[in-house]
Amino acid sequence: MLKLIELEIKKFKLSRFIKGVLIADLIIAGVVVLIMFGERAENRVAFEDYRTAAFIIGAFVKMTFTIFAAVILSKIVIGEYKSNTIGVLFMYPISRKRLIAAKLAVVMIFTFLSIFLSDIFIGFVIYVIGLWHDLIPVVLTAADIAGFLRNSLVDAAAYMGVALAPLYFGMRKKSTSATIVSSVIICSVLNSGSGDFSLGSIIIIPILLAVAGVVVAYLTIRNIDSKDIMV
Amino acid sequence: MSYILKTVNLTKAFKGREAVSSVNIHIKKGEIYGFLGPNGSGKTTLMRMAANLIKPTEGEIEIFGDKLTDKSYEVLKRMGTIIETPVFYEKLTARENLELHCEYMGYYDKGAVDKAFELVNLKDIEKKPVKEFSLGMKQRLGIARAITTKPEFLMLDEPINGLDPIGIREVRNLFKILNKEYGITLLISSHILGEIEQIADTIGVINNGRLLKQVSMESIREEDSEYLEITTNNCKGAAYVLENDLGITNFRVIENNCIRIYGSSIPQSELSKTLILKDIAIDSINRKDVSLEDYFMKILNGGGISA
Repeated sequence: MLKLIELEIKKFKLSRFIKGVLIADLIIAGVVVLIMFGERAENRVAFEDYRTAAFIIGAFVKMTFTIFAAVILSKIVIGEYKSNTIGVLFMYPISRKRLIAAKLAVVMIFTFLSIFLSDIFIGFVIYVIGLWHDLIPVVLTAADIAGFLRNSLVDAAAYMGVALAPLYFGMRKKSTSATIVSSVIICSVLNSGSGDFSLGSIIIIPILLAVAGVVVAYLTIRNIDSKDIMV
Repeated sequence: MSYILKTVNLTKAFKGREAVSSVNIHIKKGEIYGFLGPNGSGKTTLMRMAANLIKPTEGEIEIFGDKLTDKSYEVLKRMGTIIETPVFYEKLTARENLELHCEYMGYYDKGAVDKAFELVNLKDIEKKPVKEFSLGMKQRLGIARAITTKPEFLMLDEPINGLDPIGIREVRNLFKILNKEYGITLLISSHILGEIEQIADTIGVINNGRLLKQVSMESIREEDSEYLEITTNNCKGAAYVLENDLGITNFRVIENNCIRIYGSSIPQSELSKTLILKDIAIDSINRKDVSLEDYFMKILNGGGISA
Protein backbone atom coordinates (compact mmCIF):
# COMPACT_ATOMS: atom_id res chain seq x y z
CA MET A 1 0.00 0.00 0.00
CA LEU A 2 2.78 2.42 0.90
CA LYS A 3 4.36 1.61 -2.42
CA LEU A 4 1.15 2.45 -4.25
CA ILE A 5 0.84 5.75 -2.39
CA GLU A 6 4.41 6.56 -3.28
CA LEU A 7 3.72 5.80 -6.94
CA GLU A 8 0.69 8.09 -6.93
CA ILE A 9 2.78 10.93 -5.53
CA LYS A 10 5.46 10.32 -8.12
CA LYS A 11 3.02 9.95 -11.00
CA PHE A 12 1.25 13.25 -10.38
CA LYS A 13 4.30 15.07 -9.05
CA LEU A 14 2.34 15.88 -5.92
CA SER A 15 5.40 17.20 -4.13
CA ARG A 16 4.69 20.42 -6.01
CA PHE A 17 1.72 20.89 -3.73
CA ILE A 18 4.01 21.42 -0.74
CA LYS A 19 5.02 24.73 -2.24
CA GLY A 20 1.37 25.60 -2.79
CA VAL A 21 0.58 24.80 0.83
CA LEU A 22 3.40 27.06 2.04
CA ILE A 23 2.26 29.94 -0.12
CA ALA A 24 -1.33 29.49 1.08
CA ASP A 25 -0.10 29.45 4.69
CA LEU A 26 1.75 32.72 4.21
CA ILE A 27 -1.29 34.33 2.60
CA ILE A 28 -3.58 33.18 5.42
CA ALA A 29 -1.13 34.45 8.03
CA GLY A 30 -0.90 37.74 6.13
CA VAL A 31 -4.67 38.14 6.02
CA VAL A 32 -5.01 37.43 9.75
CA VAL A 33 -2.24 39.91 10.54
CA LEU A 34 -3.97 42.49 8.35
CA ILE A 35 -7.20 41.95 10.26
CA MET A 36 -5.37 42.50 13.54
CA PHE A 37 -3.67 45.71 12.40
CA GLY A 38 -6.84 46.91 10.70
CA GLU A 39 -8.85 46.64 13.88
CA ARG A 40 -6.12 48.34 15.87
CA ALA A 41 -6.14 51.27 13.42
CA GLU A 42 -9.74 51.81 14.48
CA ASN A 43 -8.82 51.43 18.13
CA ARG A 44 -10.45 48.03 18.42
CA VAL A 45 -9.04 44.63 19.27
CA ALA A 46 -9.40 41.93 16.64
CA PHE A 47 -9.10 39.00 19.02
CA GLU A 48 -10.09 39.32 22.63
CA ASP A 49 -8.20 36.16 23.44
CA TYR A 50 -6.25 33.34 21.80
CA ARG A 51 -9.31 31.17 21.48
CA THR A 52 -10.93 33.59 19.02
CA ALA A 53 -7.70 33.92 17.07
CA ALA A 54 -7.43 30.15 16.87
CA PHE A 55 -11.00 29.95 15.65
CA ILE A 56 -10.38 32.36 12.77
CA ILE A 57 -7.13 30.65 11.79
CA GLY A 58 -8.82 27.26 11.92
CA ALA A 59 -11.65 28.44 9.68
CA PHE A 60 -9.27 29.79 7.06
CA VAL A 61 -7.09 26.70 7.13
CA LYS A 62 -9.96 24.24 6.92
CA MET A 63 -11.55 26.02 3.97
CA THR A 64 -8.34 26.44 2.08
CA PHE A 65 -7.07 22.92 2.42
CA THR A 66 -10.35 21.13 1.91
CA ILE A 67 -10.47 22.85 -1.46
CA PHE A 68 -6.83 22.00 -2.03
CA ALA A 69 -7.68 18.40 -1.24
CA ALA A 70 -10.54 18.52 -3.75
CA VAL A 71 -8.09 19.69 -6.40
CA ILE A 72 -5.84 16.73 -5.66
CA LEU A 73 -8.82 14.38 -5.56
CA SER A 74 -10.01 15.56 -8.95
CA LYS A 75 -6.52 15.27 -10.34
CA ILE A 76 -5.65 11.79 -9.18
CA VAL A 77 -9.05 10.08 -9.22
CA ILE A 78 -11.35 11.91 -11.64
CA GLY A 79 -8.41 12.96 -13.81
CA GLU A 80 -7.43 9.34 -14.43
CA TYR A 81 -10.92 8.61 -15.69
CA LYS A 82 -11.01 11.71 -17.85
CA SER A 83 -7.65 11.08 -19.47
CA ASN A 84 -8.44 7.37 -19.89
CA THR A 85 -5.29 6.37 -18.03
CA ILE A 86 -7.56 4.52 -15.62
CA GLY A 87 -7.64 1.78 -18.27
CA VAL A 88 -3.87 1.52 -18.10
CA LEU A 89 -3.96 1.52 -14.33
CA PHE A 90 -6.60 -1.17 -14.13
CA MET A 91 -4.63 -3.46 -16.42
CA TYR A 92 -1.95 -3.78 -13.77
CA PRO A 93 -1.86 -6.91 -11.66
CA ILE A 94 -3.17 -5.05 -8.63
CA SER A 95 -6.69 -5.05 -7.29
CA ARG A 96 -8.71 -2.05 -8.35
CA LYS A 97 -9.82 -1.55 -4.77
CA ARG A 98 -6.27 -1.16 -3.59
CA LEU A 99 -5.41 1.20 -6.43
CA ILE A 100 -8.31 3.51 -5.62
CA ALA A 101 -7.79 3.16 -1.89
CA ALA A 102 -4.20 4.34 -2.36
CA LYS A 103 -5.48 7.44 -4.13
CA LEU A 104 -8.00 8.21 -1.41
CA ALA A 105 -5.33 7.64 1.19
CA VAL A 106 -3.17 10.26 -0.52
CA VAL A 107 -6.04 12.76 -0.28
CA MET A 108 -6.69 11.92 3.38
CA ILE A 109 -3.06 12.13 4.39
CA PHE A 110 -2.70 15.42 2.58
CA THR A 111 -5.79 16.87 4.26
CA PHE A 112 -4.72 15.78 7.72
CA LEU A 113 -1.16 17.00 7.47
CA SER A 114 -1.92 20.25 5.69
CA ILE A 115 -4.61 21.25 8.19
CA PHE A 116 -2.74 20.21 11.31
CA LEU A 117 0.66 21.57 10.32
CA SER A 118 -0.75 24.79 8.87
CA ASP A 119 -2.71 25.46 12.06
CA ILE A 120 0.48 25.14 14.07
CA PHE A 121 2.57 27.15 11.63
CA ILE A 122 0.09 30.02 11.24
CA GLY A 123 -0.77 29.93 14.93
CA PHE A 124 2.88 30.35 15.73
CA VAL A 125 3.33 33.23 13.27
CA ILE A 126 0.27 35.04 14.65
CA TYR A 127 1.42 34.48 18.22
CA VAL A 128 4.86 35.94 17.51
CA ILE A 129 3.54 38.96 15.61
CA GLY A 130 0.78 39.50 18.19
CA LEU A 131 3.30 39.42 21.01
CA TRP A 132 5.68 41.71 19.16
CA HIS A 133 3.10 44.40 18.48
CA ASP A 134 0.99 43.67 21.51
CA LEU A 135 -2.07 42.86 19.40
CA ILE A 136 -3.73 40.31 21.66
CA PRO A 137 -4.49 41.68 25.11
CA VAL A 138 -4.15 38.46 27.12
CA VAL A 139 -1.37 36.12 28.09
CA LEU A 140 -1.07 32.76 26.32
CA THR A 141 -1.69 29.94 28.78
CA ALA A 142 -0.76 26.28 28.59
CA ALA A 143 -4.50 25.52 28.49
CA ASP A 144 -4.81 27.70 25.37
CA ILE A 145 -2.09 25.75 23.64
CA ALA A 146 -3.50 22.39 24.67
CA GLY A 147 -6.96 23.42 23.52
CA PHE A 148 -5.60 24.73 20.25
CA LEU A 149 -3.72 21.52 19.50
CA ARG A 150 -6.66 19.38 20.45
CA ASN A 151 -9.09 21.30 18.27
CA SER A 152 -6.64 21.29 15.45
CA LEU A 153 -6.22 17.51 15.65
CA VAL A 154 -9.97 16.94 15.75
CA ASP A 155 -10.46 19.28 12.77
CA ALA A 156 -7.70 17.63 10.79
CA ALA A 157 -9.12 14.18 11.49
CA ALA A 158 -12.72 15.12 10.71
CA TYR A 159 -11.77 16.90 7.51
CA MET A 160 -9.96 13.82 6.22
CA GLY A 161 -13.44 12.43 5.72
CA VAL A 162 -15.00 15.72 4.61
CA ALA A 163 -12.37 15.94 1.86
CA LEU A 164 -13.67 12.69 0.35
CA ALA A 165 -17.30 13.83 0.14
CA PRO A 166 -16.83 15.69 -3.21
CA LEU A 167 -16.01 12.31 -4.74
CA TYR A 168 -19.72 11.60 -4.80
CA PHE A 169 -20.44 14.58 -7.03
CA GLY A 170 -17.30 14.21 -9.09
CA MET A 171 -17.69 10.52 -9.90
CA ARG A 172 -21.23 10.81 -11.22
CA LYS A 173 -20.19 12.47 -14.42
CA LYS A 174 -16.45 12.12 -13.97
CA SER A 175 -16.20 15.88 -13.71
CA THR A 176 -13.28 17.70 -12.13
CA SER A 177 -15.22 20.94 -11.85
CA ALA A 178 -18.11 19.26 -10.04
CA THR A 179 -15.59 17.85 -7.56
CA ILE A 180 -14.03 21.20 -6.78
CA VAL A 181 -17.26 23.20 -6.80
CA SER A 182 -18.96 20.75 -4.43
CA SER A 183 -15.98 21.03 -2.12
CA VAL A 184 -16.21 24.84 -2.14
CA ILE A 185 -19.92 24.63 -1.32
CA ILE A 186 -19.38 22.13 1.51
CA CYS A 187 -16.67 24.36 2.99
CA SER A 188 -18.66 27.55 2.72
CA VAL A 189 -21.65 25.96 4.40
CA LEU A 190 -19.54 24.48 7.19
CA ASN A 191 -17.61 27.64 7.87
CA SER A 192 -20.35 30.20 7.47
CA GLY A 193 -21.74 31.89 10.56
CA SER A 194 -21.13 34.92 12.63
CA GLY A 195 -18.58 35.73 15.32
CA ASP A 196 -17.06 32.58 16.65
CA PHE A 197 -20.02 30.48 15.67
CA SER A 198 -20.28 28.47 12.46
CA LEU A 199 -22.07 25.34 11.41
CA GLY A 200 -18.76 23.57 11.58
CA SER A 201 -18.29 24.50 15.19
CA ILE A 202 -21.14 22.21 16.16
CA ILE A 203 -18.71 19.31 16.10
CA ILE A 204 -21.35 16.77 15.17
CA ILE A 205 -21.80 18.35 11.74
CA PRO A 206 -18.27 17.98 10.41
CA ILE A 207 -18.21 14.52 11.97
CA LEU A 208 -21.39 13.57 10.13
CA LEU A 209 -19.93 14.91 6.91
CA ALA A 210 -16.72 13.05 7.56
CA VAL A 211 -18.70 9.85 7.98
CA ALA A 212 -20.62 10.67 4.80
CA GLY A 213 -17.32 11.20 2.98
CA VAL A 214 -15.99 7.87 4.11
CA VAL A 215 -19.25 6.16 3.13
CA VAL A 216 -19.06 7.74 -0.32
CA ALA A 217 -15.50 6.55 -0.68
CA TYR A 218 -16.53 3.07 0.36
CA LEU A 219 -19.40 3.00 -2.11
CA THR A 220 -17.07 4.15 -4.87
CA ILE A 221 -14.68 1.33 -4.19
CA ARG A 222 -17.15 -1.40 -3.32
CA ASN A 223 -18.25 -2.46 -6.80
CA ILE A 224 -15.25 -1.30 -8.72
CA ASP A 225 -14.03 -4.82 -9.55
CA SER A 226 -17.11 -5.60 -11.60
CA LYS A 227 -17.43 -2.20 -13.30
CA ASP A 228 -16.83 -1.81 -17.01
CA ILE A 229 -13.99 0.53 -17.76
CA MET A 230 -14.67 2.13 -21.11
CA VAL A 231 -11.51 3.81 -22.20
CA MET B 1 -3.38 -28.31 -27.46
CA SER B 2 -2.71 -25.43 -25.13
CA TYR B 3 -4.48 -22.18 -25.79
CA ILE B 4 -3.30 -18.83 -24.51
CA LEU B 5 -6.69 -17.29 -24.99
CA LYS B 6 -9.91 -19.16 -25.37
CA THR B 7 -13.43 -17.85 -25.18
CA VAL B 8 -16.61 -19.84 -24.82
CA ASN B 9 -19.78 -18.25 -26.16
CA LEU B 10 -18.46 -14.88 -25.15
CA THR B 11 -21.13 -12.21 -25.34
CA LYS B 12 -21.15 -8.57 -24.37
CA ALA B 13 -24.21 -6.39 -24.63
CA PHE B 14 -24.35 -2.67 -24.09
CA LYS B 15 -27.84 -1.48 -23.22
CA GLY B 16 -29.33 -4.58 -24.80
CA ARG B 17 -27.37 -4.32 -28.03
CA GLU B 18 -24.82 -7.06 -28.52
CA ALA B 19 -21.38 -5.78 -29.42
CA VAL B 20 -19.89 -9.27 -29.22
CA SER B 21 -22.16 -12.29 -29.72
CA SER B 22 -21.20 -15.79 -28.65
CA VAL B 23 -17.66 -15.70 -29.88
CA ASN B 24 -15.48 -18.77 -29.56
CA ILE B 25 -11.96 -17.73 -30.25
CA HIS B 26 -8.93 -19.99 -29.86
CA ILE B 27 -5.46 -18.56 -29.78
CA LYS B 28 -2.71 -21.13 -29.68
CA LYS B 29 0.47 -20.69 -27.75
CA GLY B 30 3.25 -19.31 -29.89
CA GLU B 31 1.21 -18.09 -32.81
CA ILE B 32 0.39 -14.69 -34.22
CA TYR B 33 -3.35 -14.37 -34.34
CA GLY B 34 -4.73 -11.74 -36.68
CA PHE B 35 -8.05 -10.35 -35.72
CA LEU B 36 -9.73 -8.92 -38.77
CA GLY B 37 -12.91 -6.96 -38.97
CA PRO B 38 -14.33 -3.63 -40.04
CA ASN B 39 -14.56 -0.72 -37.63
CA GLY B 40 -17.10 -1.27 -34.92
CA SER B 41 -17.22 -5.02 -35.43
CA GLY B 42 -16.43 -5.85 -31.82
CA LYS B 43 -12.65 -6.38 -31.91
CA THR B 44 -11.89 -3.80 -29.26
CA THR B 45 -14.74 -4.91 -27.04
CA LEU B 46 -13.44 -8.45 -27.11
CA MET B 47 -9.92 -7.32 -26.28
CA ARG B 48 -11.19 -5.19 -23.44
CA MET B 49 -12.89 -8.22 -22.03
CA ALA B 50 -9.71 -10.25 -22.34
CA ALA B 51 -7.82 -7.51 -20.49
CA ASN B 52 -10.47 -7.70 -17.78
CA LEU B 53 -11.44 -4.06 -18.25
CA ILE B 54 -15.03 -4.86 -19.09
CA LYS B 55 -16.99 -7.87 -17.99
CA PRO B 56 -18.78 -10.33 -20.24
CA THR B 57 -22.56 -10.39 -20.24
CA GLU B 58 -22.41 -14.10 -20.95
CA GLY B 59 -19.81 -16.72 -21.65
CA GLU B 60 -16.32 -17.30 -20.40
CA ILE B 61 -12.77 -16.28 -21.07
CA GLU B 62 -9.82 -18.51 -20.36
CA ILE B 63 -6.35 -17.01 -20.33
CA PHE B 64 -3.31 -19.22 -19.84
CA GLY B 65 -5.78 -21.99 -19.09
CA ASP B 66 -7.45 -20.21 -16.18
CA LYS B 67 -10.88 -18.73 -16.13
CA LEU B 68 -10.89 -14.96 -16.00
CA THR B 69 -12.85 -13.53 -13.07
CA ASP B 70 -13.27 -10.12 -11.45
CA LYS B 71 -10.40 -10.97 -9.19
CA SER B 72 -7.94 -12.23 -11.81
CA TYR B 73 -5.13 -9.78 -11.31
CA GLU B 74 -2.09 -12.00 -11.38
CA VAL B 75 -2.75 -13.03 -14.95
CA LEU B 76 -2.36 -9.41 -16.06
CA LYS B 77 1.30 -9.61 -15.14
CA ARG B 78 1.87 -11.99 -18.04
CA MET B 79 0.16 -9.81 -20.61
CA GLY B 80 1.08 -6.71 -22.55
CA THR B 81 -1.81 -4.78 -23.97
CA ILE B 82 -2.63 -1.80 -26.13
CA ILE B 83 -6.28 -0.99 -26.50
CA GLU B 84 -7.22 1.67 -29.02
CA THR B 85 -4.83 4.60 -29.01
CA PRO B 86 -2.36 4.08 -26.21
CA VAL B 87 -2.72 6.59 -23.36
CA PHE B 88 0.04 7.81 -21.11
CA TYR B 89 0.59 10.17 -18.25
CA GLU B 90 1.09 13.06 -20.62
CA LYS B 91 3.13 15.28 -18.36
CA LEU B 92 5.72 12.62 -17.70
CA THR B 93 8.47 11.70 -20.13
CA ALA B 94 8.49 8.43 -22.04
CA ARG B 95 11.05 6.99 -19.66
CA GLU B 96 9.08 8.03 -16.58
CA ASN B 97 5.98 6.44 -18.06
CA LEU B 98 7.75 3.16 -18.69
CA GLU B 99 9.44 3.14 -15.30
CA LEU B 100 6.09 3.70 -13.68
CA HIS B 101 4.73 0.82 -15.74
CA CYS B 102 7.49 -1.48 -14.52
CA GLU B 103 6.85 -0.50 -10.90
CA TYR B 104 3.16 -1.26 -11.17
CA MET B 105 3.84 -4.51 -12.99
CA GLY B 106 6.31 -5.49 -10.32
CA TYR B 107 9.05 -5.87 -12.89
CA TYR B 108 12.50 -4.81 -11.86
CA ASP B 109 15.11 -4.95 -14.56
CA LYS B 110 17.19 -1.85 -15.02
CA GLY B 111 17.87 -2.35 -18.71
CA ALA B 112 14.30 -3.23 -19.67
CA VAL B 113 13.20 0.29 -20.54
CA ASP B 114 16.23 0.99 -22.74
CA LYS B 115 15.82 -2.36 -24.42
CA ALA B 116 12.19 -1.58 -25.20
CA PHE B 117 13.05 1.84 -26.65
CA GLU B 118 15.65 0.18 -28.79
CA LEU B 119 13.27 -2.50 -30.05
CA VAL B 120 10.65 0.01 -31.18
CA ASN B 121 13.33 2.40 -32.41
CA LEU B 122 12.40 5.41 -30.30
CA LYS B 123 15.18 7.96 -30.07
CA ASP B 124 15.78 11.49 -28.82
CA ILE B 125 12.87 11.46 -26.47
CA GLU B 126 14.59 11.87 -23.14
CA LYS B 127 13.51 15.40 -22.27
CA LYS B 128 10.10 15.54 -23.90
CA PRO B 129 6.87 14.99 -22.02
CA VAL B 130 4.63 12.51 -23.82
CA LYS B 131 2.05 15.18 -24.66
CA GLU B 132 4.46 16.51 -27.28
CA PHE B 133 4.67 13.15 -29.04
CA SER B 134 3.11 12.53 -32.45
CA LEU B 135 0.54 9.77 -32.87
CA GLY B 136 3.15 7.53 -34.48
CA MET B 137 5.56 8.05 -31.60
CA LYS B 138 2.83 7.33 -29.09
CA GLN B 139 2.02 4.16 -30.95
CA ARG B 140 5.66 3.09 -30.75
CA LEU B 141 5.81 4.04 -27.12
CA GLY B 142 2.66 2.04 -26.52
CA ILE B 143 4.28 -1.00 -28.08
CA ALA B 144 7.41 -0.34 -26.04
CA ARG B 145 5.36 -0.22 -22.88
CA ALA B 146 3.56 -3.41 -23.75
CA ILE B 147 6.80 -5.32 -24.31
CA THR B 148 9.01 -3.87 -21.54
CA THR B 149 8.04 -6.51 -19.06
CA LYS B 150 8.53 -9.40 -21.51
CA PRO B 151 4.97 -10.65 -21.41
CA GLU B 152 3.98 -14.09 -22.69
CA PHE B 153 0.94 -12.75 -24.46
CA LEU B 154 0.72 -9.48 -26.35
CA MET B 155 -2.65 -8.07 -27.22
CA LEU B 156 -2.42 -5.16 -29.63
CA ASP B 157 -5.46 -3.30 -30.90
CA GLU B 158 -4.75 -1.67 -34.26
CA PRO B 159 -1.05 -1.25 -33.47
CA ILE B 160 -0.22 0.09 -36.89
CA ASN B 161 -2.52 3.09 -36.71
CA GLY B 162 -0.68 6.33 -37.15
CA LEU B 163 2.58 4.78 -38.34
CA ASP B 164 4.24 5.74 -41.61
CA PRO B 165 5.11 3.04 -44.17
CA ILE B 166 8.63 2.64 -42.80
CA GLY B 167 7.25 2.44 -39.30
CA ILE B 168 4.77 -0.18 -40.38
CA ARG B 169 7.52 -2.34 -41.80
CA GLU B 170 9.68 -1.91 -38.69
CA VAL B 171 6.84 -2.79 -36.41
CA ARG B 172 5.89 -5.78 -38.53
CA ASN B 173 9.43 -7.09 -38.26
CA LEU B 174 9.39 -6.42 -34.56
CA PHE B 175 6.27 -8.53 -34.16
CA LYS B 176 7.95 -11.36 -36.02
CA ILE B 177 11.03 -11.09 -33.82
CA LEU B 178 8.96 -11.02 -30.64
CA ASN B 179 7.11 -14.07 -31.85
CA LYS B 180 10.03 -16.11 -33.14
CA GLU B 181 12.84 -15.14 -30.78
CA TYR B 182 11.00 -14.38 -27.58
CA GLY B 183 8.24 -16.92 -28.09
CA ILE B 184 5.54 -14.36 -27.41
CA THR B 185 2.01 -15.13 -28.54
CA LEU B 186 0.42 -12.17 -30.28
CA LEU B 187 -3.11 -11.09 -30.91
CA ILE B 188 -3.16 -8.26 -33.40
CA SER B 189 -6.33 -6.63 -34.56
CA SER B 190 -6.78 -4.63 -37.69
CA HIS B 191 -9.38 -3.58 -40.18
CA ILE B 192 -6.83 -3.77 -42.97
CA LEU B 193 -6.22 -7.26 -44.31
CA GLY B 194 -2.89 -6.39 -45.91
CA GLU B 195 -1.37 -5.73 -42.51
CA ILE B 196 -2.52 -8.96 -41.03
CA GLU B 197 -1.96 -11.45 -43.80
CA GLN B 198 1.77 -10.89 -43.87
CA ILE B 199 2.39 -11.87 -40.29
CA ALA B 200 -0.52 -13.83 -38.97
CA ASP B 201 -0.52 -17.59 -38.54
CA THR B 202 -4.22 -17.69 -37.90
CA ILE B 203 -6.89 -15.23 -38.83
CA GLY B 204 -10.17 -14.65 -37.10
CA VAL B 205 -12.72 -12.67 -39.02
CA ILE B 206 -15.25 -10.79 -36.97
CA ASN B 207 -18.18 -8.73 -38.09
CA ASN B 208 -21.19 -7.36 -36.23
CA GLY B 209 -19.89 -8.99 -33.09
CA ARG B 210 -19.78 -12.47 -34.58
CA LEU B 211 -16.73 -14.53 -35.33
CA LEU B 212 -17.40 -15.52 -38.94
CA LYS B 213 -14.33 -17.58 -39.61
CA GLN B 214 -11.24 -18.74 -37.84
CA VAL B 215 -8.72 -20.23 -40.17
CA SER B 216 -4.99 -20.78 -40.46
CA MET B 217 -3.22 -18.82 -43.16
CA GLU B 218 -1.56 -21.99 -44.33
CA SER B 219 -4.81 -23.63 -45.17
CA ILE B 220 -6.05 -20.54 -46.99
CA ARG B 221 -2.94 -20.49 -49.10
CA GLU B 222 -3.22 -24.16 -49.95
CA GLU B 223 -6.87 -23.97 -50.66
CA ASP B 224 -7.94 -22.79 -54.09
CA SER B 225 -5.44 -20.08 -54.35
CA GLU B 226 -5.13 -20.37 -58.10
CA TYR B 227 -7.49 -21.36 -60.85
CA LEU B 228 -8.04 -21.35 -64.57
CA GLU B 229 -11.12 -19.64 -65.81
CA ILE B 230 -12.59 -20.76 -69.10
CA THR B 231 -15.31 -18.78 -70.79
CA THR B 232 -17.33 -20.77 -73.26
CA ASN B 233 -20.92 -20.97 -74.44
CA ASN B 234 -20.87 -24.73 -74.22
CA CYS B 235 -20.33 -25.36 -70.55
CA LYS B 236 -21.87 -28.80 -70.53
CA GLY B 237 -19.66 -30.04 -73.30
CA ALA B 238 -16.60 -28.49 -71.76
CA ALA B 239 -17.33 -30.09 -68.42
CA TYR B 240 -17.71 -33.46 -70.12
CA VAL B 241 -14.41 -33.13 -71.89
CA LEU B 242 -12.61 -32.00 -68.77
CA GLU B 243 -13.81 -34.95 -66.82
CA ASN B 244 -13.52 -37.68 -69.40
CA ASP B 245 -10.64 -36.68 -71.58
CA LEU B 246 -8.46 -34.78 -69.17
CA GLY B 247 -9.38 -36.44 -65.90
CA ILE B 248 -10.01 -33.16 -64.13
CA THR B 249 -12.60 -33.33 -61.39
CA ASN B 250 -11.86 -30.26 -59.31
CA PHE B 251 -13.75 -27.68 -61.31
CA ARG B 252 -16.82 -25.65 -60.85
CA VAL B 253 -19.33 -24.18 -63.27
CA ILE B 254 -19.69 -20.62 -62.07
CA GLU B 255 -22.21 -19.17 -64.45
CA ASN B 256 -23.72 -20.52 -67.64
CA ASN B 257 -20.66 -19.68 -69.62
CA CYS B 258 -17.81 -19.90 -67.14
CA ILE B 259 -15.88 -22.80 -65.64
CA ARG B 260 -13.17 -22.59 -63.00
CA ILE B 261 -10.56 -25.33 -62.70
CA TYR B 262 -8.72 -25.54 -59.42
CA GLY B 263 -5.36 -27.01 -58.55
CA SER B 264 -4.75 -28.56 -61.92
CA SER B 265 -1.30 -29.22 -63.24
CA ILE B 266 -2.40 -29.52 -66.86
CA PRO B 267 -0.91 -26.68 -68.87
CA GLN B 268 -3.16 -24.10 -70.40
CA SER B 269 -2.10 -24.92 -73.97
CA GLU B 270 -2.95 -28.60 -73.52
CA LEU B 271 -6.30 -27.67 -72.12
CA SER B 272 -7.27 -25.35 -74.93
CA LYS B 273 -6.03 -27.75 -77.57
CA THR B 274 -8.10 -30.60 -76.21
CA LEU B 275 -11.20 -28.50 -75.91
CA ILE B 276 -10.89 -27.11 -79.41
CA LEU B 277 -10.30 -30.55 -80.88
CA LYS B 278 -13.52 -31.64 -79.22
CA ASP B 279 -15.19 -28.77 -81.02
CA ILE B 280 -15.87 -26.64 -77.99
CA ALA B 281 -15.54 -22.94 -78.70
CA ILE B 282 -13.55 -21.04 -76.15
CA ASP B 283 -13.99 -17.31 -75.77
CA SER B 284 -11.20 -16.91 -73.30
CA ILE B 285 -9.00 -18.83 -70.94
CA ASN B 286 -7.23 -17.14 -68.05
CA ARG B 287 -5.12 -18.05 -65.07
CA LYS B 288 -6.25 -16.20 -61.97
CA ASP B 289 -5.39 -15.84 -58.30
CA VAL B 290 -7.94 -15.77 -55.57
CA SER B 291 -6.59 -12.90 -53.55
CA LEU B 292 -6.99 -13.06 -49.83
CA GLU B 293 -8.88 -9.84 -50.17
CA ASP B 294 -11.54 -11.66 -52.21
CA TYR B 295 -11.50 -14.52 -49.79
CA PHE B 296 -12.24 -12.33 -46.81
CA MET B 297 -14.60 -10.03 -48.61
CA LYS B 298 -16.57 -13.14 -49.45
CA ILE B 299 -16.69 -14.13 -45.80
CA LEU B 300 -17.66 -10.67 -44.71
CA ASN B 301 -20.35 -10.39 -47.36
CA GLY B 302 -21.68 -13.80 -46.47
CA GLY B 303 -22.08 -12.35 -42.99
CA GLY B 304 -24.75 -10.06 -44.25
CA ILE B 305 -23.12 -6.77 -45.12
CA SER B 306 -22.46 -5.37 -48.51
CA ALA B 307 -19.00 -4.29 -49.45
